[in-house]
Amino acid sequence: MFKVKIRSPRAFNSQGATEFNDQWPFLEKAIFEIFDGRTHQLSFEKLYNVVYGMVLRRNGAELYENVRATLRSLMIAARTGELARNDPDLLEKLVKVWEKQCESLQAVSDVMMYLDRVFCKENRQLLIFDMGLELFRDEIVKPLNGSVKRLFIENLNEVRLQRSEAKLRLLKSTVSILESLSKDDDTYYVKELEPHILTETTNYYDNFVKSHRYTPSQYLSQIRELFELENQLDTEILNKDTTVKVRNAMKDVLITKNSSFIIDQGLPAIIEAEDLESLSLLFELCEKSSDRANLLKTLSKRIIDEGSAIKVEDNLKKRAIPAIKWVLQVLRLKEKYNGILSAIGQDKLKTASSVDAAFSLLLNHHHKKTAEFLSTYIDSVLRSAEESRVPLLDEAIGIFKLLKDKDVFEKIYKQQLSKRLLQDRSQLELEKHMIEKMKQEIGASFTSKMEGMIRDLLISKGYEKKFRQDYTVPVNFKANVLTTTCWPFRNTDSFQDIQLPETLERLKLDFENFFIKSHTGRTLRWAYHLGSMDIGCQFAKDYYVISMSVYAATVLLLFETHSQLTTEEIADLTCIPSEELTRQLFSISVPPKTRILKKRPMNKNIAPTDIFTFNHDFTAATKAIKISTVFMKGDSSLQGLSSLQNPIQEAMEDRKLLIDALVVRELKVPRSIKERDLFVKVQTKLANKFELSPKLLSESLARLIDREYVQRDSEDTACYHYLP
Amino acid sequence: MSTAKNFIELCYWCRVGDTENVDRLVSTGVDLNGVDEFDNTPLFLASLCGHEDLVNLLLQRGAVCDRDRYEGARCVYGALTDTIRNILLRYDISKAVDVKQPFATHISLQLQDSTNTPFDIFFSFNGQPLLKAHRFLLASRSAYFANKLNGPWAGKQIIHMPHERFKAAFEIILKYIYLIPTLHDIYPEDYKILKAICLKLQLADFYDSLNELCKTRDSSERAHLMAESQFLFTEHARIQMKNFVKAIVSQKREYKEAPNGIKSVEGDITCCSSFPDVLISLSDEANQKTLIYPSHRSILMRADYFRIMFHSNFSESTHYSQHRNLYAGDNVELPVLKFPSKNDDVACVILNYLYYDETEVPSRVAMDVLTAADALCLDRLKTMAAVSITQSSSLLRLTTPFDILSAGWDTRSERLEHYAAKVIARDLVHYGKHPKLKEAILESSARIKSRQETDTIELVDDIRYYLLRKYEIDIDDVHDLEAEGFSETLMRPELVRYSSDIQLLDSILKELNLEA
Repeated sequence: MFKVKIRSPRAFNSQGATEFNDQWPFLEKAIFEIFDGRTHQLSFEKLYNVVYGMVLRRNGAELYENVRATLRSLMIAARTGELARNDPDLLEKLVKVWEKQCESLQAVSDVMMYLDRVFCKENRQLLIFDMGLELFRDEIVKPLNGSVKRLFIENLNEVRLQRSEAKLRLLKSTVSILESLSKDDDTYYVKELEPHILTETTNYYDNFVKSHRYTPSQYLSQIRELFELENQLDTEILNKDTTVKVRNAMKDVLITKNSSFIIDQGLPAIIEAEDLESLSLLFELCEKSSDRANLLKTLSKRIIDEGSAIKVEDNLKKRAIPAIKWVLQVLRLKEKYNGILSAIGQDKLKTASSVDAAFSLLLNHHHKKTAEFLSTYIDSVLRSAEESRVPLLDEAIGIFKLLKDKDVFEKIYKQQLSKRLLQDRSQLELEKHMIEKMKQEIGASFTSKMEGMIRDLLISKGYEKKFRQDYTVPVNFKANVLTTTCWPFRNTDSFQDIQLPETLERLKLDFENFFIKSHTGRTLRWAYHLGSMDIGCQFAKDYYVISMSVYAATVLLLFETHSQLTTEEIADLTCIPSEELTRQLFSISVPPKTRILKKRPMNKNIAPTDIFTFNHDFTAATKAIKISTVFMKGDSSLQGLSSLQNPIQEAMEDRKLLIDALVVRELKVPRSIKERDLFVKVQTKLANKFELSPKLLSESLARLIDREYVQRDSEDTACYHYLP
Repeated sequence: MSTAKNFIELCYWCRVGDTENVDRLVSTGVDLNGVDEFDNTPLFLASLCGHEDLVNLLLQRGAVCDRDRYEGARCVYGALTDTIRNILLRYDISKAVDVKQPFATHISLQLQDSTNTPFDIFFSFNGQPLLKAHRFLLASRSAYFANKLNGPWAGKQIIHMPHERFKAAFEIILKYIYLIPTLHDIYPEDYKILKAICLKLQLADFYDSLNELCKTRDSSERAHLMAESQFLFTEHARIQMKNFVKAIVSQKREYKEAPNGIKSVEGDITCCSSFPDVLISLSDEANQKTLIYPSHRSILMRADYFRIMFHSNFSESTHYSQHRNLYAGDNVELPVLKFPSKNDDVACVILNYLYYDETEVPSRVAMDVLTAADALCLDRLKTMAAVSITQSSSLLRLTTPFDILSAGWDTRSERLEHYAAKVIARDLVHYGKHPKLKEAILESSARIKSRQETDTIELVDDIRYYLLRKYEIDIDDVHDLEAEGFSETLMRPELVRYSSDIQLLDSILKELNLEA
C-alpha cells in the first residue's frame, strides 16, 4: 500500500528495522519464486510497494545487502545443483542456467526499480541487475573458470575439424555470456577467455602443421583452407576484434614461423614450376609486413640470381651479337616476372616496384656494358626489317627506365642514331616513336638533341625539294643540313675542304648559294666523311654500281682523266688529309672484294710512292657494291664520328663536369652545407642521368677545393663552404 | 490563468533562466513564438541572457529560429555565448523537426514503436497487412471515429475497409491522429483525396492546413506553415485529451470489495465510451470509498512504474497475454491497479499530466502529487509539483518549511531543500524557536556523515546563504566584519541585523554540539 501522507522527519528509532524484518521474508520468498520461474504468479504492484516503503524508510542499505545475499545463495545453489566441474556438458548447462538467471535477475531488478533509482544512485552502488551479473561471475563463472575454458577450446577444436551448428551456437552463447560480465574495466571475455583462445589456437595450428608433411604448394593451399575455415568460424562465434587477433596468431604460427620453408624454399620452387596459383596464394597469405618484406626480398634475390646467370658471349668479330643476345634474355626474364606479377592479385604496386628494383639492381650490377648493350639492341631492332617492331621497342623501354647509367646510354644511342639517320637505315616514324617514349619516361631534356637530329633531316628534305626547283641538278644529289650542336661530332674545326671533281664542286657552290639566300649569317661546312656517293662504272666484264665514301669517290673520279697516279699526286690533286687518304686508298685497292684500283707494289701498306691504276678487270658477285672504309690498326686520329670507340670514358668525363657544376650551384645559396645533405641534393638532380656515388662526390669536392671554389670547414670535416 | 498572463510569466522565467518553470508553462499551450510588448520572443530572451539549457528546451518544444526573419536573426546576434549561437545556427527551419510536447511524443511513439504497445483495433484493406490503432485515441481525436466505435464497430476487432486505394491516405490520417508530423510527406496529388477524407472524418484543422498548403508554393513559407500546423494539431489534441480525461473522471465508479472477497463495480465500467484496457483504483480517504477510473496502458506507460510493470512478466501483464482478445465489449475482467494516492484530486492531476501534459499543480495537493509522482517514477511531474510548492504563497499556512524540507529529502528535490532554507532564513527569529529546526539540522548533518564528503551541514549552509541574500549583503562585507571585529556604531543597519541572525543560528548549533 502506498504511503502518501507527509511524514514527519524520522528519528533514528528502531521502528524501521522491525518493520523491515517483518517485510523482508515476503520479498525473499518472492525472489525465490522468481528464480523458480513463477514470476507470472506474483504481483508487481505489491512487491514494488514493499521495496518503495523500505527505501523510503531508509532501509535501502539493508535491503540491498539482503538482496545480494539472497542472490548469492541462489547462484551458489545453481552452481552446486546444476553445474559440475567435470560434466562434459557443462557449457550447455551453463548457457541454460545463464538464460534462466538473466530472466529472473531482470524480474528482480524490475521490482527493485525504486531501490535502483534512489539508493543505488545516491550511494554509488551497482544497480541490482549489474550486481546480479557480478554475483553470477563470482559464484558461478569463476569457480568453473578452468573447466569452461578447457571445454570451450575442446569444442572449438572439434568444430574446426567438423562443423556442428549446435556446437557453434553453444560457443557463441558462451562468448556472449562472458562478454556480458565485467572484469577489471573490461569484459570477462577479454580478460580471461580471449588470451586463452589465442594461445590454444596457436598450439592447435602448430600441432596441425607438425603432424603433416607437405610440399610448399600443398602447404599453401592447405593453410589457405585453414584460414578460410577459421575465419568463417570466428565470424560466427567471436567478435571482430578477436577474429583479427586469431588471424594474426595464425599468421605467426603458420607463416612467420615457417617462413624458411614457405618463402626461402617455397618461392624458388614455385617460380621454377611457374605455379602461378600457389604464388598468388603465397602473396595473399604473407600479409604481415615482415613476411611480405621477406617474400619480396627472396623474390628479388631470385631475379638477380637468374639474371646474373645470363652469360655474355665473347664474340670479337661482331660486337653487337652478344649484346643483343644478352638483352633478349633479360627481356624474356622480365616478361616472365611481369607474368608472375599479373598473377599476384594483391598489393601489385609494391610488388611491382620491388621486381623493378631487382631488375634495376641486375642491370646496374652488370655495370656500364648494360647501357651499351641496350642501345645496341635497340639499334638492331630499328635497323631490322621486321614487321612489328613497336612492341619490341616498348619492351626495351621497360628496361631503359630501370637503367641508371642513362648518360652513357644517351651517348651511345645518339651515335647510333646519327648513323642510322645519315645512312638512312631506319624508319623515321619508328625513331620518333622511340624518342617520344624516352621523353615520356625521363623528360624532354634527355631527348631534345635527338629530336633536333630528326628535325634536321626533315627540314633538309624540304631544302632538297626547293633546291631542285631552282637549280639544275645533274646527279641524284641529297644534302642534309645538320645543326652542329645536336649531332655527336667532336671538333668540327678539323673538317677540311678538299678538291672535289668539277661537277660536284659546282653543285656544292650552287647549294651554298641557295642556302645562304634564305639563311643569312649561317655557315655551311661540308662533312665529307659523313657522306657517300654511288658511281656507276663499266668494267671490262660488267657494269657495277659502287657505293663509297665521298673521299673514295673523289679519288676514283681522278682516274677519268688520269691513267696512273702516285699517292703523292693524288694527295696534291684532292687535298685529302694524308691519314684519311691512306685509309681510303687502302679501302679501294687492298681488300680483294673491293679492289677497283690496282696498286703497285702489291702489298698491304700505302706508301707515298705507290702507283695506282684503274682496275678494268674488277668483278663482283652482285651488281651493287658497297665499299666501307677500313679502319687500320694504330689509327689514332679518327675524325668526325667516333664509332663506339670510347663513349663510356667520355661519359665519365661529362659526369665530372656535371657534378662539379651541380655542387657549385647547390653550395652557392646556402653558402655552407654538410656533405650528406649535398649528396642527397646532387643525387636527386642527377637521378635521370646516372647514380651518384659518394666517391664521385668527394672526388669532385677535392677538385673544387684545389680550384678554390670550395673550402672545407676547419672543424667539421664533413662541412663545406662556398668561396665567392 | 489566461494565456496572455502565462506568456508574460514565461518571458520572465526566460530572463531568469528557470528551466523547470518554463517547461511547466510550455505545457499550458502558450505560444512559444509570440512576442512581448518589446517584440521579444522567449527564445530571444533566453539566448540574450545566456541560458543554454533553456534555449535547448525552447527549441525542443517548438520555438522557431528562422534566420531569414527578424526574430530569428535577432536571436542569433543577441546570443550571449558562442555555444548558444551555435545551437541556434544549427537549427534548421526547413527540416521537419519533431518539435512536440512530451505527451505528443509519447502518443506518436504508440504508433511508431509497435513492439510494446497494446493495439486493440485493426483495419484491413483487402487482406493487405493490417493497420493497427488504439480505440481510445481514435475516439478521443475524432468524433467520427467515436461514433463508429460506439456504433457499428463496437465489439469488432478487425474492421474491413472498403477500398484498398485508401490505405495510403488512411495511414496519413493515422499519423495525424497520433501527432506524427506527416504534412511534409504528402504528395501533391494526394491532397485532393485527403481533403475529402478530412471532410468525412470531420478533421477540420487537418483540412484547413491542407488547404493552406495547396495555395502556398514558397518552400520557406511551406516549412513555416507546416510547423505552425503541427503546433495547432498538438494544441487541438491537447484540448481533445483534456475533454477525454474529463470523461474518464466522470466515469469513475465506486469499487466494493465484500468481506468474502467478491469485488464489484457499480455499473459496467469496461463498456463505457472511453474504451479502457486497465482500471485504476484509489481509496479516497475523505469519502471512505474506493474509486476506480477507466484508463489506458498506452498512456499509463509514460510513468516508468507502469512501463516496467507492463513490460515484465508479473501477473499484471501476464493477465493480458492470457486474454488476448481483450478489447472493449469483451466480457473480460480488467486488472485493477492501485494509484499511490488517497485523494481524488491528486489522481486527477496525475491523469491530466499523463494524458495531455497538464503541468499546473494546484498548491493544495502539490505535496501529495510530489510524493505520488516520486512513487510512480514520474520525474517531470515531480519537478512541476516542486515548482508549484515553491511558488505558492498560501501553502506555508498549511504546512511548515520543515515538512517541505523533509519532502525534498525524500523525493531528492534540491529545489525544495533550497526553498525550505530560504523560508527559514526569511524568518529565522520565528523558526529559530521551532523545535523542528533542531531536528532538521540534526538530520541534515546525519545525511552528510553518511556521505562523508564534507564537514559542513548543507541546511545550515543554505540558511546562511539565504541570510546574505535576505539582507543583500556581499560575502566580502562579512569577511571585513570578521577581520575588524564588531564596532556596532560604524556598521550598516542590515549588517547588524545579519549578525544577530547569525548569532542565533550559531547558538542553536552550539546547543546541538555541532561544528559547522
